[in-house]
Amino acid sequence: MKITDHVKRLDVKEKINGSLRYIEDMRFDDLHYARTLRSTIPKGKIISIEYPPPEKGITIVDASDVCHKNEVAMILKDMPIFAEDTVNYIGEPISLIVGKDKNQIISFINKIKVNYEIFEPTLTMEDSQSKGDILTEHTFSLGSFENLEYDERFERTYETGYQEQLYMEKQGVVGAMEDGVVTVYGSMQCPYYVLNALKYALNKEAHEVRVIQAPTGGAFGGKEEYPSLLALQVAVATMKLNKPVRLVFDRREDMAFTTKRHPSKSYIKTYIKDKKIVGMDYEIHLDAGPYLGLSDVVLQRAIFTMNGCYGFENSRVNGKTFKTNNVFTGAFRGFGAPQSMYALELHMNQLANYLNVDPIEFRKDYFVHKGETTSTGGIFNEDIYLEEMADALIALSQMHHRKEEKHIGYGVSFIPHGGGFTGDGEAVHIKAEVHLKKVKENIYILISNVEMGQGAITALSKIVASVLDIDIERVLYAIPDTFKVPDSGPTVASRTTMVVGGLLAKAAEKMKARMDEEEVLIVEHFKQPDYVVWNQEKLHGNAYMAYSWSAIMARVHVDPVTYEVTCTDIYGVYDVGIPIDEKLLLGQIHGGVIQGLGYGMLERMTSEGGQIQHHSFSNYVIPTTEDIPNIHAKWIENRFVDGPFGAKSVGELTLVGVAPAIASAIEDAIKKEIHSIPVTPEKILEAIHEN
Amino acid sequence: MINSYRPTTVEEALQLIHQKRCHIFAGGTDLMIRKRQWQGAERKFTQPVVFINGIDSLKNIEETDTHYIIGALVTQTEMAESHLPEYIRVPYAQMSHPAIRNIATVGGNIVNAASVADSIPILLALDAEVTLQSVEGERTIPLGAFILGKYKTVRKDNELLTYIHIPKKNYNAYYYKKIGQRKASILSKVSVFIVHHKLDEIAITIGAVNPMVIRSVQLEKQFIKDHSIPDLIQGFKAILSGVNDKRSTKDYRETVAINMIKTYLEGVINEL
Ligand SMILES: Cc1cc2nc3c(=O)[nH]c(=O)nc-3n(C[C@H](O)[C@H](O)[C@H](O)COP(=O)(O)OP(=O)(O)OC[C@H]3O[C@@H](n4cnc5c(N)ncnc54)[C@H](O)[C@@H]3O)c2cc1C
Repeated sequence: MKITDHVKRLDVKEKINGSLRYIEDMRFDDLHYARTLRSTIPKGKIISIEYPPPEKGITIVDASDVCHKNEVAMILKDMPIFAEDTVNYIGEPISLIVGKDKNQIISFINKIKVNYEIFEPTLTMEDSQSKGDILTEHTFSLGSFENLEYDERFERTYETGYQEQLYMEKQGVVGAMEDGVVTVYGSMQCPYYVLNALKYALNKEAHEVRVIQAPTGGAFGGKEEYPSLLALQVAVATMKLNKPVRLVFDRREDMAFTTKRHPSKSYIKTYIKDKKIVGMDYEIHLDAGPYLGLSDVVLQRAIFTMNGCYGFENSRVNGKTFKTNNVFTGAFRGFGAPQSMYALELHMNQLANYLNVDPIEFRKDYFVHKGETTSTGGIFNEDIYLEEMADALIALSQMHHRKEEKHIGYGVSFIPHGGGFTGDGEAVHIKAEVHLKKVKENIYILISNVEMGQGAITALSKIVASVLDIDIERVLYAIPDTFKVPDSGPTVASRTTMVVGGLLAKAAEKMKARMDEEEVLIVEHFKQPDYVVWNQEKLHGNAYMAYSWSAIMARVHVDPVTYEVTCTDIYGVYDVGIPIDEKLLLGQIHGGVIQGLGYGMLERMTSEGGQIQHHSFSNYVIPTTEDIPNIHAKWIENRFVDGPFGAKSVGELTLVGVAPAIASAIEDAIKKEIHSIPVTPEKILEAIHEN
Repeated sequence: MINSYRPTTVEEALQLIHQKRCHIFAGGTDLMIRKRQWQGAERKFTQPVVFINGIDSLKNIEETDTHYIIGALVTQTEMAESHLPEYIRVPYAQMSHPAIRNIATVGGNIVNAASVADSIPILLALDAEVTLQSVEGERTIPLGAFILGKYKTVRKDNELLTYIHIPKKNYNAYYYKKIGQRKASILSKVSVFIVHHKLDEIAITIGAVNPMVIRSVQLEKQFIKDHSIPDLIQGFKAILSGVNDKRSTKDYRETVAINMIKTYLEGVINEL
């Protein structure tokens, strides 16, 4: 087959006909269930736990059962598997109550009383700052503000709230002892992250622990680092009981206590001279919750592209993560960029409005080009077509044929999104390895990247089949199992098609010459392109190998009576290199637009006293088909030399630009500024009432 | 061990709920959620459960010269697809989503008496009455007298809600708008229902703002007399007492309720 051929999604048949067994449907002999005893206070010391008298059929699993280290190995090891003496957020796991009868477990757990000495929690980033609880901080700059000449300064502060991934399938894992091996099955994005956490906490070698990915019904980052915690818990439980133990969250549990998108606050100061931007000073704060987790990486991705699609003569970027006693925040599609790009792009529109210039023409003066310097002092190594994309957006949206319409507003955004790990992360930390194996007529893809609904199996199989020019049916994808597949890295950072697909394409090229052999194994390792120069300590150099780009325009109607917003249209022009598959690309665009729309105008999630308030479907609202706008998408082709067939990243990009475009469109419709998302009708009313 | 029963006649059901305090289970779309504890574990029912959805005599929509008589077990889908006037059908068609509407009953929404229940503003505006039956007898009372507050009614434990009586009126126009946090499949954060015949006869209700649906017959009468929107608005403002909660704000609920009434009635007056 050819890469330009259309293919059917390879994973959907079983999903649609219902025959696929997710972790909750999988059968195990003598299966036990686990339910989590959780902290009910945001911060305190556990004085005692009053368990009811021991019962036959009930086992308590807690920190005392962890045989080596009660630590979840992520970037730091600051999070315990089970809280021991102290608790640091509401919902923090203290123990698992395990048994075969769910009714018995629930009635047992209802009788447990935990006595705490309650400490004053830190619930806001301001409070955290005043206590000096900054977890991490980074600053970098270009030019200087010292003797900067300017006429005026335009300053704004922007806030974003939590966003919940709301994958259809909730978090779930099973731990089982199989032939003496501690085995964890689970809904996850990163089997090797889980494996490494198991090896570390249980002091095991790679052959003593095994991780097998179960079909994963959506993830969006929510199953990046969080499953490590759950896997450790069931591993400890199965080692204690010597029985399979299943831990699957209830939806409310999942919504209230698992990682979500970091709430943020951004402070932007723009220095203007002769109606032009001469400098931009930008600061972003993220609420990390009680443990660092991936928050510093999220912060880095937020600040690396803080300058967006623009080159400013002088820029300063500062970012901080704060420790609080709110829920633990983490990975979510976009990884920091939805927060920083919301702030920047809304700011750009507000600036254009303030200077009374067209928001697209205004931006063109600052668009970056190949060979220019990035905000981290690297060099844009690729062809960049922002002007062309802007013109394509104008044409696609028929901007010049707009009629004056009441209560209608338009907003735009221009977004860069780097594919793969930042800086030299792919080469230094991930070191991806892929195997391509030929056994008779079939070619097996052996990697640790997972299908989670995004279409990875289809895209990767298509790449291999196209290089080899064989039917896609002959390419088979092996379910990630750490006993069987190499570590090709996590399924995150929009890297799977671009980076792992790139390695598979190279492996397939090598396979090509050996197609007449019965059995062949090709092993391919990641090699960093020469143009990537990076200093992680100084955060200096090429933050990304390549960027994908989007130009988006939103059209909204704001009801003058009810302030309800209808996003009628989203126009999007994308540069994702060369799409591996146009239908898969459209799928990502549609999904990204919808999730971005939720983030921008619907999905309000707040925390009171450390407790997530919106933790059920009846008050945390994601878009339904009735809320979905007409989506008009176009893409330009811009071959990326190091991507498979010229492809760059897609997955996250499609979400990032939507919220700022919609927020700006709402401002355009009501002629008021609103500085936080989601822009709910309540906020619109408040803005209108302000004067 | 909790017993469950499946009566097929009203009499059978009445006997059961007379002997013991029971959970009456119609569509179960409120009950199942209220009693959940953990997926896969039993619901925490503490009383015998009487499944009434086998009582066929309560599944009909009938009509007399003066009234529509709705059986308590008529589903929301059946209401939405019935031959009832549009101003009754449309609100039912906007409740929840198809799967829920197919099993959720008219009676369940009333007896549950949530402050966000969408049928109550409609039925209250239409002067509906409800029939309660027990082994001791039967009473038919106005819906306004049936509901005492949020989740509170005058129903006695041994009473079954059997019928809803909606008087036929010669309304020729209506306005209904339910506002939720998104466009569909969502609970109301504020709703307004207005039915009228020119401006000779009018009923106005506001749902999901106060703990109970707001209706003021006095304001309606005054408005019929003077057609004064400012006075009507003033009157409503005095009785609105919305709250800030997870779904919305007091200010939003009250302002938008007023905006909707005002905008609609201005339109009506302009057309007269
Ligand atoms: C996803 C979802 C969306 C929803 N959306 C909406 C919405 O948009 N608007 C809305 O108003 N509601 C909504 N609801 C709530 C619910 O669907 C309605 O209140 C429905 O009408 C309840 O009817 P039921 O037959 O399912 O009641 P049940 O759950 O069976 O009963 C509710 C209560 O009434 C009692 N009861 C029921 N029938 C009788 C009777 N005949 N006599 C005496 N007692 C009785 C029961 O004992 C129980 O206490 C939603 C629910 C869900 C799950």
